[in-house]
Amino acid sequence: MERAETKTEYIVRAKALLRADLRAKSWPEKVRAIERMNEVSKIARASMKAARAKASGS
Amino acid sequence: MQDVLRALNQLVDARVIEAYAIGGAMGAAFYIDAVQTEDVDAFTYFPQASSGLLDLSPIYSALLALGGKLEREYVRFGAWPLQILPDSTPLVSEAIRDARAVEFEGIPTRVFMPEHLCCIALQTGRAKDFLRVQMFLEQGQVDLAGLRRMAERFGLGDRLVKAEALSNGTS
Repeated sequence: MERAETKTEYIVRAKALLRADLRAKSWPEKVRAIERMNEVSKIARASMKAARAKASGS
Repeated sequence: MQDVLRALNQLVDARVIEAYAIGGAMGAAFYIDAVQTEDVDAFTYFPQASSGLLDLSPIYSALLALGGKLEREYVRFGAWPLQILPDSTPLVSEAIRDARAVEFEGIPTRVFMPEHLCCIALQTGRAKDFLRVQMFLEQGQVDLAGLRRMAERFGLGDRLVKAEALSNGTS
């Protein structure tokens, strides 16, 4: 549970950094940043799903 | 993204579609800070079938022949699902017609003008659409007088007043 929370905090922090990175970029740079953000979201969703599965299984 | 734009350009070259323009969050990212989005919205004039109904099949067939993979209503090229959207309103038709010619890493493409992106967002009217208009206003990326005239012309004046009030923190 504690590990899942740490992971979530890390993901929230990473997303905030990515958002800050989106300012003053060219269009292709912004698109690449959105792609990275989508990757982070995908990881976050998978982590949450795994954490929920673990919690409901225990 | 390049694969999406190349495919769209090939559709135009092959005369499957007359023209297209990028809208939605991806189009807005040309002008304002990027916000997360999981697809690319390309607006195009739709060919009509003999029945009078909109006929998507030539567009989808051509996109699949160009290597796209069908995923629900999208055709995926690499990291990006592409959604083809019709010129469903006079506002969208005008936005396609007046779109700005730009390049994405050397690939020519067209993006809606900021005033059209804002008016389409106002017409769609979800919370995130109002937020997008606020971003255009706050970042000074739209000609406000031109936007007001356009919003009036398309019956969106009240919605723009609301977006401006939200932007000014008076609502």
